[in-house]
Amino acid sequence: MPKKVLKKLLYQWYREKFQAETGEIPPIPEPVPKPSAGEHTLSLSLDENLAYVKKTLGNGGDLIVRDFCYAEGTHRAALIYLDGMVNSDLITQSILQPILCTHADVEAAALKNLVLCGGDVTESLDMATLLDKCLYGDTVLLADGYTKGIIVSTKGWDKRAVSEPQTESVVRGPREGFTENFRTNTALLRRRIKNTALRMDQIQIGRKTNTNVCICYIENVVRPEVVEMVKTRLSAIKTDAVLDSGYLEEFIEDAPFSIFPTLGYTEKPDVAAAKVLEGRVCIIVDGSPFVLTAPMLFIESFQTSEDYAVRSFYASFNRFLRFFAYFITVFGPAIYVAITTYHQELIPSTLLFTIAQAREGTPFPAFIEALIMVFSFEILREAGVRLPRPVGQAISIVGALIMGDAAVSAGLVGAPMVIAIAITAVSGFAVPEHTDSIIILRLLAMICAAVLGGFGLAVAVLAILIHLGSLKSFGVAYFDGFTASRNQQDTIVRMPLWFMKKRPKGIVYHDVVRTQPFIPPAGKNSENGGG
Amino acid sequence: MNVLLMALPFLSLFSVKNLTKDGTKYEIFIFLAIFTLTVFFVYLYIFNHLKFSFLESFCRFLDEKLHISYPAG
Amino acid sequence: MNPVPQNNTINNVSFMFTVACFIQSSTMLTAFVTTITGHDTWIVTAIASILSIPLMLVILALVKRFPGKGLFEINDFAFGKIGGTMVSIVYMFFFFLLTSLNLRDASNFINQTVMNNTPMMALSICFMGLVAYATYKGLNVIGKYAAAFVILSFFFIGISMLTTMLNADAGNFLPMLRLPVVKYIQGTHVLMTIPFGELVCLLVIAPYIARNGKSLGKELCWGFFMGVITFLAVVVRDTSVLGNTMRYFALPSFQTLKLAKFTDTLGHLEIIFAIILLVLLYFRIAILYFCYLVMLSKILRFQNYNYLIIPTSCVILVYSFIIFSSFQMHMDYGNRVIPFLWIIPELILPVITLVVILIRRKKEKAPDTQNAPEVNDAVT
Repeated sequence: MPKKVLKKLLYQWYREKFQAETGEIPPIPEPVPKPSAGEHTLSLSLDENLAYVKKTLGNGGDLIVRDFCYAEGTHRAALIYLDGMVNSDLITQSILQPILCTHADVEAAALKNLVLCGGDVTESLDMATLLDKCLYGDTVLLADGYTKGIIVSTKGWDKRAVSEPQTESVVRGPREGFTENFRTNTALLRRRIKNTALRMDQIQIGRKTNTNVCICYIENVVRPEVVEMVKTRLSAIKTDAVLDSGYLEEFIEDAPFSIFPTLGYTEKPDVAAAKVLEGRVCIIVDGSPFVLTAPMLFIESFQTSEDYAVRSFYASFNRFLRFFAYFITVFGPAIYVAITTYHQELIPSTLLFTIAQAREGTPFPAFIEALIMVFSFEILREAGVRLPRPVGQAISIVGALIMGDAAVSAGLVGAPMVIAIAITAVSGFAVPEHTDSIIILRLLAMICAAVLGGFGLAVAVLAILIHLGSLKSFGVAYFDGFTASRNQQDTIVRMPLWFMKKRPKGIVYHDVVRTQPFIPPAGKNSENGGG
Repeated sequence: MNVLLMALPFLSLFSVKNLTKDGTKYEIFIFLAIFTLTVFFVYLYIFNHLKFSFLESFCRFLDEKLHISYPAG
Repeated sequence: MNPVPQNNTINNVSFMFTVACFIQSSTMLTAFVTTITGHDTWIVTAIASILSIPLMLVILALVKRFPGKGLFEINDFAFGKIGGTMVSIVYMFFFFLLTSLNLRDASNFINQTVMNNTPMMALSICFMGLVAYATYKGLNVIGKYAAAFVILSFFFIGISMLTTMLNADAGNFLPMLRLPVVKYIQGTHVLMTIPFGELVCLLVIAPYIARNGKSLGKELCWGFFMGVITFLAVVVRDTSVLGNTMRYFALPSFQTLKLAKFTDTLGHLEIIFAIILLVLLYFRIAILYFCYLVMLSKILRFQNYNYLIIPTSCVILVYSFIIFSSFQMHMDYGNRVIPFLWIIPELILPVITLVVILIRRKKEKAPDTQNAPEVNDAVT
């Protein structure tokens, strides 16, 4: 059945039901048509223009129309702006004061060049453009007898200050994070890459929200086809609302049904800048502190900005630790289930007796125990995130300590299982970017291990590897860096920065060299007595 | 296990839709022929009518009739 | 012919590790030769590897003369359209039988070592499903992890040698060269046929290698060398531990690993080694299945072999259960008859093909050989 017919039938059903209950027929709301670009131009009459603006924007409480006369009452004009979106002082200083203090007979056409004091002043014939600008926090100046509207940039809404991001905290390294403000975010990126080749192409997405989206890249570094792909996919989005970068991610990712993300995200400007410098494209979305990066490699989830601020040995150790933690968190419960169910001979005798003793009174098989514990932990984690901070922490402690202990005392699960799941859970926080995929993979691995033991686990691992190997992110192999290729300098081991001479192969286009060959002169200094 | 084996060949029917879009008539015909043979083959095996192995028979022929083999032991 | 899709190309280095991994996966099949030569298996291994070099050279010569073309195109050129198709059908059946045999071996191995109570059909279905999934995703995905598998197997073979050192005895190699000559000939023949001769599948894979203008000789040699070294190491390890008793075991490597102990606490590590061998077997079966699918799709003039995956995998699954009526018969014919049978596709046909091509090239100009398939630098 076509959607339109279905909607009509539903509305009719709703109308009949409402009429039956209240005896009234609800009015059918008429949608206010948004003027498309070029459709409606300004008329010479100020009153007509103001009437049109009030009709289109709805004459709400935040729409301010300041009608005034200038040039000793010979000319009439009006300011239109949305209260809360503008900086009122700026309106007074850059628009009202200069105009009202001008006693000379200045035509409206000359206001822009001779009177107004704003830094960003433009004009437009088109009503749609004027309304759009008004919605974005600019002030529109309309004059009687003048067919153009003057747009003065007066954005001044309340915004969050630049602060440390909560999802990517570091011990050493920059602590600035993106905010919800679009221009602040673009400025944060510009501050780090002061290069004429940095491009910031802006588009609007979302039929109702008209969200600003900025595509950032360095022209001679990024592959043109990647930029083209990003722009094509973004332009093809026909949706009502884009409220967060996560919305865009679902529309433009390569493998929407894969559990692995093929678009990276970050809350830190220095991370975004580093990715752009390697040849990636950065997508900044107005209203979201999370910036998307493309293409994404699997290895990126294990790289943090702190790795490049500390020594390479320590960074490599941490990198390896993250990989190990990822392996433990995904396959830990599955290995435990497989070994305790199918391959008990692998367990050393002493440990075997301990485990057997701990599991003696438990009614469930190892797989069910593991499922209970995993789901309990996931519920606690989700509850801890949703609850207010003080209460959330208390709930986590209650859940983790008391419920775990109570479960063991009651004989529902064995103590070794609680320990195994606890280690699994904590390891999962070492790789926060893959939290969503970890949960699914963990379950899949557990099911395979429960059904077919070690063989099932091996099959699951191979299936995951096959899937990872087949993924691509904007034309680049997703699982690059773990196979026989040249991109091994920054994967499990983080080589010193002076060793990473070239950008990652496969992502970069033209400007391949990032560091000239250099060996730190440590040997020379020590020979010369530090001179 | 036999039930699973019976159902397996029918999984290939999921790709018929794509084949009708991308493939030629010849390919669709060949695919359907292979599918039919597969079902026939699998069902013969499930109902214990398939015991003949070409390789084993040929090896036996080479060994016992033509004596093209190494001595046993 | 249609250009090779991007997800089916592997680079030179992956090719080298593919060759090595392919031979390494045969370490499970040492029973075919250990039941013949016992503790002298290491001698026949060395001889067989040296005698297999001419076969490698034949393969290399064919690949070099037909850049960007595979076995089907080579047969077409050498034997004409009809003759070439007949020869390709022989190869197609060869790969089909190899896939079925290896699948049977793998299921048998898992059933005997790790999952004793699970029905073999369940194991076969899982395994074949995995192989079918890998083939569906393309050769690129199969070959991507060859390097990792090779390094993994080197690592575990090294560990196994260390952990079985206490059980090793140099006296187990004696007495040497006391068997009848025919046994050494048979052992060498079996080894040349089963692990080394099956490298003829490289003729099918050749058009999928992104050579970027380079010759494949170095990669083939290094891959072959790595594979042979691993095979030899496994045989030496098993001989040093089991001695002449290795001729009585269906899985001598597994018996050796049962004795492996990592301190007194950790024993029974054969299960871990079994899982590693399983991974190598998956690789081997995936390559053979890929070759079979490619040959079948070329014979049937299919643009894309993906549509043939499920029906053919069902047929291979079923055929693997009826291919031999018992494992003992499989071993027996594998030792005595199959080496003669496999000579046809592994040695006779490639040599005849090369000779015919050389003669034809002398008589007439070479046909327009297409350039090597376009390769995107982004694909590793």
